Amino acid sequence: MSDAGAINTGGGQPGAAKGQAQIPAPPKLVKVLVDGVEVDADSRDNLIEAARRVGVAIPYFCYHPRLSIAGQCRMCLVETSDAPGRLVPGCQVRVKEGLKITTNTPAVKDNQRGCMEFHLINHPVDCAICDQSGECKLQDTTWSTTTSLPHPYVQADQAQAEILGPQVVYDAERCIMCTRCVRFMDEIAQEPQLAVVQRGSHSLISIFPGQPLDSQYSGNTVDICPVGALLNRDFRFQSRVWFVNKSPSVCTGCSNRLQRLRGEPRNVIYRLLRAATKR
Amino acid sequence: MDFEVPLGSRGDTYDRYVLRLQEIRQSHRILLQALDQMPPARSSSTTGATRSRPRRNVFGSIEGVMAHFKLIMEGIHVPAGEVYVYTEGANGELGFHIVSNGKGKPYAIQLRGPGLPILSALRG
Repeated sequence: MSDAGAINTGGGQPGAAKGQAQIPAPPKLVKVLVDGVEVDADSRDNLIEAARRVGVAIPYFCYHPRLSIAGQCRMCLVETSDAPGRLVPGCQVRVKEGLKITTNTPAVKDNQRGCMEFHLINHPVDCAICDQSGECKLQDTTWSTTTSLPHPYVQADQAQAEILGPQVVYDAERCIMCTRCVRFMDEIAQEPQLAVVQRGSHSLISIFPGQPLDSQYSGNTVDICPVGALLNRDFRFQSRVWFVNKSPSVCTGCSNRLQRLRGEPRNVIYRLLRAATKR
Repeated sequence: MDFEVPLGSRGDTYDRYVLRLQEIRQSHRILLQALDQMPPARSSSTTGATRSRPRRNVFGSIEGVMAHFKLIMEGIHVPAGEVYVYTEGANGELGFHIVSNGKGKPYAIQLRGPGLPILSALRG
């Protein structure tokens, strides 16, 4: 499962995001039902994007609209009218005319709780010292999907934080193996400097021997990491997320809009983020 | 509800004191019966959406520490709107006017102290 890494199932159509399907015909409007609400979806949408159009949030970690589909995290499984009684991955399945998507059945919720238990079983109890805390997808998703009492925490081998390159540090014990960073370096940066090594519960993200993560784009892997596994060496331990103010700004190096994160007490600019990278 | 109305027999200060204590015991009895008769229901406190986690879960489990950060650092997400609630204060009505914009922290809070309306009796 974990060495599946980068399966290139998406992309292909010019102008389509990687997460959208390879459909030769031009995109058209299809009507689908999300939890009983009718939605006008794009025929290239997967179930997550179709549900997002009416504000229904299907939880996910490994899916990203600009990357290929991996289906690693199993959080987005939902029920559809095409496969009654079975769960299908919302990231990989495309919409079609008249499809009924159900995201709130007991089976869907049970799967989400079960997956969260596996994602959290080896996760260290270190939100208090983790830079991601406050903008962590794992934190948010645990809060929105899990209502059960805490299960026993299994102490895993305590991996030490490893410096991958000039900008990025990797903490394997927090990693949930979504492989977003691996796919990003392969597909967007086109410099495959990251890989999944080891197998099963021992698997982790690593660089190749003698080849640091020194791409110009390496900082972006921090942005797309849903948890606190890949962290910026600049920002690490500098401030808490809830102590800095976000304000819109303009990048002086490219044509993108930026979010500037400013620290309130000392009026220091802590970091520059691309607007809306966190999804 | 099963309770007794306590009655005194002498009417002196000590009698009135004993009466107050007995009234407290009867109130306690009524409260316990009311709790027993309360129908079971799912509420935000039983699902955990607004309930602080026990200390040993916060320090010893990842779900506990995450819940702590969501509740304390982000706050409880109260639906947008406003509310005025009051309670008994030492000299009258103690009121709280709270405005929420749907986020974790209140948009505005106004406290109406019991001493406030007394000021209107003063000559300006």
